[in-house]
Amino acid sequence: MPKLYIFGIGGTGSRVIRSLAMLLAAGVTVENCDKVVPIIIDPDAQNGDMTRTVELLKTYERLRKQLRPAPSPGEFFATEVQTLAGMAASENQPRDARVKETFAYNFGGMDETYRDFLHYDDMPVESRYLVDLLFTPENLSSKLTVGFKGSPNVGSVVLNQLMSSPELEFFANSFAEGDRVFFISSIFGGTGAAGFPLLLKNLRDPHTKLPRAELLNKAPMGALTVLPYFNLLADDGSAIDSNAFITKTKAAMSYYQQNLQNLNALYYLGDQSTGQLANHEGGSQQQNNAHFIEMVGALAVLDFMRQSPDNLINNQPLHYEYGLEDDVRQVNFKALDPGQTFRHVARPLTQLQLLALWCRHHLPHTQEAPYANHLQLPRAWRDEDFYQQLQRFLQDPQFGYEAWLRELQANERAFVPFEDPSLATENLNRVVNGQPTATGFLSKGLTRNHIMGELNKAVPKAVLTADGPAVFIRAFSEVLGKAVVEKVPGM
Amino acid sequence: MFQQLFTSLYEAFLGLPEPAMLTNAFENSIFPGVGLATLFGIGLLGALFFYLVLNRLMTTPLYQTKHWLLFLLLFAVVAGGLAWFQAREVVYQVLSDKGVVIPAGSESAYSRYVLGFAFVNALFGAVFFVLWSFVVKGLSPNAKVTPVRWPN
Amino acid sequence: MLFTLASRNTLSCLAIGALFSACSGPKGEGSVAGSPTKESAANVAAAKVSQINVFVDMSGGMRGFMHANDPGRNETGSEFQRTVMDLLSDVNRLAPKLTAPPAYYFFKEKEPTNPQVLVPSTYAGMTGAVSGGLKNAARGSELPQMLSEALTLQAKKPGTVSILISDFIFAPQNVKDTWRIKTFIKDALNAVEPAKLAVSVFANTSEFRGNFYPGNRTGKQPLNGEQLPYYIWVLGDPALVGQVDGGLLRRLAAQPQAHYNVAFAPPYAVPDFLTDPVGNWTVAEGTGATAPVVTFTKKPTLGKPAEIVVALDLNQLPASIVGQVSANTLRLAEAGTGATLTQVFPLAQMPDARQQPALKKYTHFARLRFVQAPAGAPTLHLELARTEPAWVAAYSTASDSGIKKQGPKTYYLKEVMAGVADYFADEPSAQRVFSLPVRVTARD
Repeated sequence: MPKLYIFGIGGTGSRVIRSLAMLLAAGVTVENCDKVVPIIIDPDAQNGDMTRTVELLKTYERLRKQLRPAPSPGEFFATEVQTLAGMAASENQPRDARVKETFAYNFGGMDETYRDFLHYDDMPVESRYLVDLLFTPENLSSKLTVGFKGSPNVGSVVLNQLMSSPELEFFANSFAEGDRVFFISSIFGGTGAAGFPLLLKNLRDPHTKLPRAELLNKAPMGALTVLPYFNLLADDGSAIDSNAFITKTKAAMSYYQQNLQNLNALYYLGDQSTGQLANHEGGSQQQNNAHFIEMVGALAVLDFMRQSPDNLINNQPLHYEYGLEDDVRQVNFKALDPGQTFRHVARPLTQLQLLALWCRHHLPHTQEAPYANHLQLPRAWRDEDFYQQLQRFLQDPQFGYEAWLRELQANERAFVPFEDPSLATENLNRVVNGQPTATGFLSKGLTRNHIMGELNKAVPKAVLTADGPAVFIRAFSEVLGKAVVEKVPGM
Repeated sequence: MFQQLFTSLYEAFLGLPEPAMLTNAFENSIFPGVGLATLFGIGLLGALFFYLVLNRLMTTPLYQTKHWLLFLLLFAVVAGGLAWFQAREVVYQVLSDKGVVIPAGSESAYSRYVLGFAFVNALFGAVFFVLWSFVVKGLSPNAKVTPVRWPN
Repeated sequence: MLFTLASRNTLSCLAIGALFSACSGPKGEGSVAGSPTKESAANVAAAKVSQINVFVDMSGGMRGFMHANDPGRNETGSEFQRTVMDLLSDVNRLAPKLTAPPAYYFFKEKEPTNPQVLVPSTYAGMTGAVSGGLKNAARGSELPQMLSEALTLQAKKPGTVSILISDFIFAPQNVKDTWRIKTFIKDALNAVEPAKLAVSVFANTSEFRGNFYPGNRTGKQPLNGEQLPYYIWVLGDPALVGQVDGGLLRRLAAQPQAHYNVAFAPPYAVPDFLTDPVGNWTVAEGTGATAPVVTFTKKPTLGKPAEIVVALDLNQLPASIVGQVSANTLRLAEAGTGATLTQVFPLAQMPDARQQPALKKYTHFARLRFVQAPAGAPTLHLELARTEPAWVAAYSTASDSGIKKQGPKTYYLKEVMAGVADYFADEPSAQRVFSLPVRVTARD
């Protein structure tokens, strides 16, 4: 059972993992892998992006646990996503009470200034001078609760404590032959830029104190490093200045060129930034809207998993970049390259969009239909945990799928694969942007009645091979998948 | 066989036909004719229409319990109308064949009886529709659970 | 008026009658069966008249009826001539419908040289004799002989109906044997079994011009136009005689009649459309072959009896019989059902008849009352007892010597008819004019 461990470092890590979760929910297949274990590393416990992604992942995990038997590849929520600690239960390992049951690495609440963290006042004078050389007074006086605010120099010191954490030890213990690791970070930020090389160096260190060092040293590891793709509004009160992003990028890149060893694949992503986000230093206010780049970043993870281990190990390091088929400011499916991206992403996302539209606009109107009756939907939709989680996954205004899409559409470079959902209240003929379903006299396209009829047939069939919520997933995957292929032109 | 069955059914609710001279007409012709038409023509065909035409051959929004109830009501009314018209027609035919008229005192009893027959047949129409619904609903993918899930 | 019309046409027909046998006479029923009722439809199919034998008495005493007419003296033929000519014409017209042509015979006395009583004739010969007078009148034949000869001839061919026309004055050889008239007649009729024989007697009177020979063998008396009775007897199978009565002899329907063992089958029904029926019952109508069936849907009890009304259409029956129908003469053979005949009333007293036009074709109604449910499905019979008509006594006389003064009477007619009645005395069907079955049953 090969696993994929994803270290999402900093805000960008969280956001890419958010997009990846959406793709996994849509049924995109992760090859060479049965289970995905995301580990988010962000000292800012309040970070809006992180909390959002963690909530989303928790919802996904709860959903997925209730699907028995597991969905087949291509169905919604096919891939299993688990916390590090949760793996203990599934692999019959002894539970380690020190490892928290959460997706985020808990830094233990760093509520002190950097100065105190370094024990500056206890240092000998020479060390103090060195410290003053390396760090600005602002660095020294800043509290660490919100991460490193764009200062990798601070971050690289603080994050060392990560290496001696019980979480990392547990991770190493559960690492097996065939497992892979992927790092996601931004090159211009604070936490990500610092954490990624640090982690990589430690994992690849032959003399590391971590257990199973040999496995770790040889396992395929990939990384995504995200170059600047947004600007922040200038704010004198904030320590973060997006004008410095490019400078920092160059600095980090030169470091990577020299010091990034034993990485099998490195993915670079970036975009001309035109949008300007509000300048928040951290905390819950740092909640950037989802960006197209993050979704592409998720594609990098999938591409990494698609490579065979031999290819990765023998040809390291492999470097990848991404290009759109059509350089448009409003990206839809047609603007994606047809050979890879469109093939991997278009159908699953459309399927997921149909599911979301159905749940929001059409499920309430078909509650008496046989498929709903079989699943006891009117009651289960309100009371059963699975459906509650599904609703949250799709509809939560903070981290849900619909919110994610809205953010993607509102951003600069926008990702607008689908039309306005309000067009889908009567029927589902206008879902994909630029690819409406044809209707005529005899065929009314993708109407509510049509889907309902298909569901009525699919649910009794699915009952034969699954039970409970898995029936819902199986039937809907089948029906919506078929609907996408048959009724949406160009799919 | 059907004659005896329907005669007993109707007379259980209505009593013997009034006026007595029409007893033969009712028992030999009206009860079996209307009974069979209601059982098969309205009950079975109605159920087939609702379950197989509207909700198998076509996929329509008319699968909900409230639509089923509407059809039930409609078929009950049709059954009542059928009974009323058929009874009057046959009686008229019989009377003109024999060259007799309904005796003056019995006119109101006759009207009451025919009206009662119409109501009872409306009831039977509804009941038969319900019975055939349960027989036929398994064949309808879109209305299998209308009005209730059992026996699917 | 019908008679006058008929006779005029007949006379004109007669002028050419010798050459042409078919005549477009008045459009009466040419068929044998006058108006077969539904009930006797089956019988009609089963029994048809196959032959008609007409016998006319050619004794001298009959000549007075058949006087040749002198148009110069405005003589238009006696009633006898007119009626008999009409009858003969009708019979002749019927000929194509029979299996054998009608036979015409004269009765004459048995003579040593000529033992034959019957003298065969033809239509032409008979009509000629009736209209133009008997040329070779013989001595009168004995009535019993006439009867037995006719019956013997009749028995030879089943389906034959005999029509005898005579004054039926039976003068026994020995005047003192009048007490034996009855027996003579009875013996004469023995040629056929009573069950297979029916006798209808129609009486009529006609002008008589000629010598009248009284039955008590006193001297002849010349008469010039006085009315004397003559009779037409119809003999044959009970079902056939009824047909002939209604058919050939319909013109005499108003005349005094007596019927013995004639099977009358008047239409009848049990109407179920009466206002305020008593009790709960339904009726299944009878066809020609089956009786109507009354089914009690609720069993009648002493406290809640049921009553049904049987409607009778007696229009086809002789008026004398119809006049006798009453609660006294109508009987119910209740076949163990305990039913009683409570009331008999005519159409005029039926209140429902005003509303129900279907009732208007009936003449009488009989109400039957039931106080218990019948066991099984027995058949009741509604029967009319036969009574001897009153006119027989009126037409009879013990002595016809003073016939001019007495008026039309026949010597010991009463005894003659009593002989016929005696002959049928042991025949139960002869005691009833009609017997109408009604089945009753109860629904469980």
